[in-house]
This record gives sequence, C-alpha cells and structure tokens, in this order.
Amino acid sequence: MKEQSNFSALIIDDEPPARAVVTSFLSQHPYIKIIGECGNGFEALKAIQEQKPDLIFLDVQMPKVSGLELLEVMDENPVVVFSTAYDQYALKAFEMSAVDYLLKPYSQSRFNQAMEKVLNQLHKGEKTDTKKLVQTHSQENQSTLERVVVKTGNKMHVIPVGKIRFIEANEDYVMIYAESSRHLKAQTMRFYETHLNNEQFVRIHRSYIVNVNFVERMEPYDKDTYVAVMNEGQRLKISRTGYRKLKETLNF
Amino acid sequence: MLHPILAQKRLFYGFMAGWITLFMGHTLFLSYQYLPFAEALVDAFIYNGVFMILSVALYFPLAYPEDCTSSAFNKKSFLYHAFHHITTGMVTLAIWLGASFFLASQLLSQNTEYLNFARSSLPMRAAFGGILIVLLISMYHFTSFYKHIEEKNTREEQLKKMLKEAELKALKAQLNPHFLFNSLNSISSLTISDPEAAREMLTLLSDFLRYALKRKEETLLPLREEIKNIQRYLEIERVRFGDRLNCEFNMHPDCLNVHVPAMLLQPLYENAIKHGLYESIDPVSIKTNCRSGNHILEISVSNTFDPESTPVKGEGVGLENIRSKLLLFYNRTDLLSIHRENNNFEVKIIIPKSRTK
Repeated sequence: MKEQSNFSALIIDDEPPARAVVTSFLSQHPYIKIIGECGNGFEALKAIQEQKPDLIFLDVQMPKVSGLELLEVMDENPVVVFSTAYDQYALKAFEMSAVDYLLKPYSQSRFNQAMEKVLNQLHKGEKTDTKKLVQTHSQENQSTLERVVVKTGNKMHVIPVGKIRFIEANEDYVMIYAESSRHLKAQTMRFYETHLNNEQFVRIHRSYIVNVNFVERMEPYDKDTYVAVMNEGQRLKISRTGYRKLKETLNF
Repeated sequence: MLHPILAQKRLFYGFMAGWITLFMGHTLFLSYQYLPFAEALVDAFIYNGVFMILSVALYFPLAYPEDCTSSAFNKKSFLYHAFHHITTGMVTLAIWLGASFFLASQLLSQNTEYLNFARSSLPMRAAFGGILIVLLISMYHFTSFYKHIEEKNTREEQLKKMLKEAELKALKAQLNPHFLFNSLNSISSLTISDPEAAREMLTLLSDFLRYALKRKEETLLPLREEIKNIQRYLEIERVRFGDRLNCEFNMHPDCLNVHVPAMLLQPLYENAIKHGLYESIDPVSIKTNCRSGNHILEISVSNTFDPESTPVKGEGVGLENIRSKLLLFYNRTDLLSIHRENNNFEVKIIIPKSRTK
C-alpha cells in the first residue's frame, strides 16, 4: 500500500445489512474511500453522475430497476463489483463476460480476492466491460420483457412495455417512442423483436417495431405496399413480410 | 343414477345367466312332477320373466335413500333401513305374485288343472320368491358397498396427492434461494456489527425453516402457531429491509385458537413481500386483520404496493396454492377473494369453523 492513490467507491444495495458488509470489509482497504451508499437504482444513477466514483459495488436485485438495468443507462464507466444472492441469468452473464462477482454471503478473503483484481483494473485504468455483460445478460434471459429502463438527461425512467408505441431503428441505437416521450437506447432491433410479447409487438419493417394497440389504420403507400398510421399521426412504412406478420397478428 | 347391472357388461351377463338357469330349473321341476311340459314352460316364463323385471327395478328403492351406505350408521337409521327393506321386499313379492298369477291365469284360463295347481302352489312360490329377494337385496348392497369403498379410496388417493403437491410447493417457496441467501448475508453482516442480533436472526431463520419441514404430518394447526411463524418470516425480512417494511396485526384473541390448514397463509405474505416490498422504493406496510364469527373465521391480509412498478412474474402461484388447499380441506371454491384498489392489495380468506376440532 505504499504509493497507492485513493479511489472513491459507491455502495449500491437495497438491503442495509448487505451495504454494511461491504463497508466493514472495505476497512481492510484504506485506499478506498466510500463516498456514499444508495438503496436503489434512481439514487445510484444520481450519485454516480454527480460524484463519478471510480468503483461501484452493485447488487443485481433491486426494486424497480435492477443493477443490470442501471448499467444499461449509465454513461459513466466505473469499475463494477457485482453481488447477488441468486440470479441464474446474471450468473451466466457474469461468467460469460469474465466479470468478477460476489455471491452472497461471501467472506472477507473472497472479498479481498475481488479487490485485488479491482485494484489492478483501477491502476491500469481498465474499465469493466459492461456493454458486453448487459448484452449477454439480455440474450441469456429468454423471458418476455416487462419494462424498459431509459434515461432522459440525468433522470431514469421505467417504461412498462404496454406504453411503448413503436420502436425505430437508429444506426447503432433504437429510438423508443413511449406515450409522451421518446428515448434513445443502445440496443438492437433484433433484441426487441425477440424479447417483446409478439402478440402485441410486430416488426413491420427493417426499421420499425409497432405496438399494434397504437396503430390507427393502414393506408396503401404505392402499388402493393402499405403504411401504418399511428394514433398520433406518424406514418410508418410496412414491408411485405411486415404486412404478412401484421396480418397474422391482427387476424384480418 | 346408473343401474349397476345395466352399466356393467359382466354383471349383466351373470345376471341373465342366473335367470336362464332359474327358468330352466323351474320348467324341468314343474314338468317332472306337476304339469305337462307346455304349461310348465309358460308358467316358468311368466313367473321368472316378471321377477326378472322386478329385480332390476328393485335397485332403485334400495339405492335412493342415499345414506344407506354411509358410514354414519346409528341405531335409528338401522331400524329405519330394516323397515324400509322389509317393506320393499314384501311389496315386490306381492306385485310379483299378483302380476304373474294374473297373467298365467289369463293365458291358461281354460285349463282348470293348471289353475288349481297355481292356487295351491302360491305359498311355495312366496317362500321361494322371499329367499330370492333377500339374495337380490344382499347382492345390491354388496355391489354398492364395494363401489362406495372404491370411490372413497380413489378420492382419498387424490386428496393425498394434492396435499403432497401443496406441501412441496410450500417447501420450495421456503427454500427460495433468493430469500435464503439474502437472509444469510444479513446474518453475515450482523456478526460484524451486532453478534447478539446475528444469533437471534439465526434462531429465527432456523425456527422458520424447521416449522416448514416439520409440518408434513400435521395438517390442521391453531392459527396462533401459523401467525407465530409468519411473524418470524416478517421479522427476518425486517432485518433485511429495516424501516421499509411495516407490519400490523389486529387479531381478536378468539381467533388464535381456531385450527387452520398448516402453511395456508404463508404464500400471502410471500406475495406481499415479493410484489410489494421487493418492487417498491417507498416503505410498504402489511396489515393482517382477523375476526371470528359464529361459524367462520375471516382473515384479511393487505399490503401496499407501488402501482407504477411493473408486475413481476410468478403472480398467482401462491394464490393457486391457497385455493387448492381450501378446496382440499373444505371442499369449497368461494373462500378466497381478492380486492385491488389504488395502491392496496387485499386477500380475504374465510375459514369455516365446522371442520376444526
């Protein structure tokens, strides 16, 4: 510990005793300075944006926004130490993306081992590859999506999928049009096509996935193609395969 | 109601074979000793034919007083049944003799020799008929008794299977890895900050798990014990979440002695924690009210939740579990009701007291 500089750390977990474990185990690592504790993802995002910690301890299971969903919308890139009691999808994602994680309950020596790696990363200026992690997690998790976490400015929003009107491809991103707002998100069209409930969402075009509940009507576009007119007036092109899928879903 | 003889082929064939044997015996016996062959044949045909029809019909007056096979067989109902059976037997006998005699004498009205024989043989026929009716009644009783036992066995088997499934589900919920490992993590935390509290929490967790494991044999337990275990569970969650969980119990002391199916209420609290506490950032409160009526116990468990939060999967498994248990114990489907409004979720359960010891 000779010439080590100080690093700042944020502890994010919704259970106070779990945060206390981290605090207590960190007392053996005096070069880490705890700058705060957060009980949920919303507080955490704010604290990360304002205080820019070098290191975060992140619990996976939290109310409304999980630790992994927080990562999805985070622009900052601290080193992350994950912890979880039990989450099969997260575990698989951790393993596949070679990210270190702590299985609750864990010992001081296991914690120290993780800290060794973390310190190495901090000194080298390496970051946790969260993008890859988030991606593998969303691929592993086959269950239908119930919500999408987005960020506008520095505020996080949770959109229930029923409130998504349509999704538009936007280069490496997608634009999610919700009831009263739109949000850019780093995700693929392919992901939403496979993870959204396919009785409600139809990929009508290379560039569009629509929520059929928000489609007002269809109009011919040229000889044999159509456009979908959304209830707020947007007109979205429908490809031929898209038209067939729409026909199947809506039974017309 | 299905007639056992008409419903089962094997029984029907046996029945017919019996009557054909009787018919042939009857004919041979009469033609050998009393009558010319032709008259013996007619006599046997009429008397046996009428008896056969009556014997099929006899089943209904015997089967309809439903409780005749029930195990609750007291002295009064024994006398009643004896009287009922004897009357039925006598009436059948009278109808048989009357109808057969009338038919035979109409058919052979010119034959005075036959008519004399028919009159003089009446007591003999009555005696024979009486024995046959007693045999028939015993046969019907035997088949319905047998059927009843078989039905009872299959029902019991089914109940046992359902109970086992419910137990397994409850056990799985107890051993919910998320709950278990997070609780252990809290203990790990407390060993550093407050060893005394850590020991308490370990005891709580052990008692809670032991209760779930032990409850296999016993099926009905006083509500007091159930509530005690639920309080253990909530106490564990309170250690994990602190002030975010508020619990309130309003229970009339009379309620606590009423017996309820073991682990009946547990899924309600698990749901309240899972859908309320785990998915909300604000504090969540769980209220339990219990009042006792004349014949019922009314238990209501309500929790606040964040209406903005997206529903978590697995909703319904716990409630399904409770419904099947209530069906199992009380054979009713209307004992559980759900009320959801604004940010409050309430489940009401009615427990009939009649089944309690």
